[in-house]
Amino acid sequence: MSGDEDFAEFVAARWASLFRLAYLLAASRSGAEDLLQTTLEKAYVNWSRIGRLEYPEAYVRRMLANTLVSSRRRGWFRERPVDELPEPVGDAAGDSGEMPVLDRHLFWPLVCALPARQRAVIVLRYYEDLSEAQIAEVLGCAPGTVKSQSSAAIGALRRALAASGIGEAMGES
Amino acid sequence: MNIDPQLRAALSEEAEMQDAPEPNVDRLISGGRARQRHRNMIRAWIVAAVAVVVAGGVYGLAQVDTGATSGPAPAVTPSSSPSSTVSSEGSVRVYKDEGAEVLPGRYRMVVGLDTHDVPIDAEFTLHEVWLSGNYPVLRDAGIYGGLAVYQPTALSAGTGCLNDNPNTHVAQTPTKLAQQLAGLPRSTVLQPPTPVTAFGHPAMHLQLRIMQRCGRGVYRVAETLRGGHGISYGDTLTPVVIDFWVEDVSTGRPRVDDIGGAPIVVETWHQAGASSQMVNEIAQAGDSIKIVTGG
Repeated sequence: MSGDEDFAEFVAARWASLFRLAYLLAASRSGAEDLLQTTLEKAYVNWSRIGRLEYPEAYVRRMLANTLVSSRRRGWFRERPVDELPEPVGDAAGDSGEMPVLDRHLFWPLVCALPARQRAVIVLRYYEDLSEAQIAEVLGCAPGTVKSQSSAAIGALRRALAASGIGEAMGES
Repeated sequence: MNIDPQLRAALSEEAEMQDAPEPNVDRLISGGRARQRHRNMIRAWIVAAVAVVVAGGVYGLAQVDTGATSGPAPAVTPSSSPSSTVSSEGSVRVYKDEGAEVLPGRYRMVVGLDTHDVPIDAEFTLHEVWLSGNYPVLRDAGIYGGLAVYQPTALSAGTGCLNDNPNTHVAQTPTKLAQQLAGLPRSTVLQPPTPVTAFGHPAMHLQLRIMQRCGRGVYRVAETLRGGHGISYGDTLTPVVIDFWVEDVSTGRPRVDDIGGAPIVVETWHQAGASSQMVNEIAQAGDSIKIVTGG
């Protein structure tokens, strides 16, 4: 099988799974397509090496996060970060007074509003189940930076939830 | 409140809700090949630059040897070669698309390849502090502008926004490429393609106004060997005025019969509302551009 055929087979088999991760990292479908396109182009360049790995998908998934952060560093387009996270939509506590279920409708807009690097840390930690050390390796930074980014992101999510009364409903001020 | 498990579940659910679009494998492979060419080009350019530096060093040492009785030899670097790292205008630095700022000075970047895979370079001079990107960008009071020199591998298509696939059928002659540029999405032609001489070569000049607003996305003018070239910067999404000069760099250059691929495009742009000082700096940087062919 030629390198191109092998690459095409990999893309066909793993595209959907890679797209989902790209979507979480980029926080939009159009951004995900662009991120995935860029990452797979890079993977193609090194496919003779990546294709021989035992788990090429794991490598490409890490490339996705690294490409996202690198593109923000190079930045031919600039992020427009918001000062405050948006209010969660819906009434999480509901009328019953029971413990609210914080579903994706509540969390996702808040995650989208995080700066790209913090979002990448959150996605790698909670979706990819990577350790802090692994995330640091993927993003090319110190584990301490991952810790601080993660802490800042979780703090921002908590504050946004509390501001909407959800934290209070869960017994926290 | 421990939000970890709920955050984990929410991300998984959000991801699973996404129906992935069909992959365009041909586009991925052609994009990958373009990157491969770019990488090879950079490597070839670095090898050539190192060779020049080594040659310059050897030449300098030779001067020291032959002039040992007349004290320390001045630093000597050949300046006649097109790939020299020093030009008659002083030190030329390699333009890097890393870091936040580009300091005033003369820079050189690889912008294309001729048919023999010999890099085509562009030199330019910046008089103020610019911002780094695939191409340098100037910011003044929240208004952005810039310059770019490239051999396009694809042009803006659809809405012009990044999420629309670009047109990879790039014309191979300056006249036809200028016509394609005149039809960029959401553009108004301020100056139709006109034959001129620019940067030492016959060229087609045109000027457009482009509505760059793309929601949360960005307007991409072209894909190039250096990566994407966009014009959506900052929060001021006012229209952008762009001047293009589409260069036939092969004419009068006997070593290069045909540059291969698309012609070279030189571009200066600024958002509406740019100060005259900013427009002047961009124009000066544009005027300083020298296309260097033949390695």
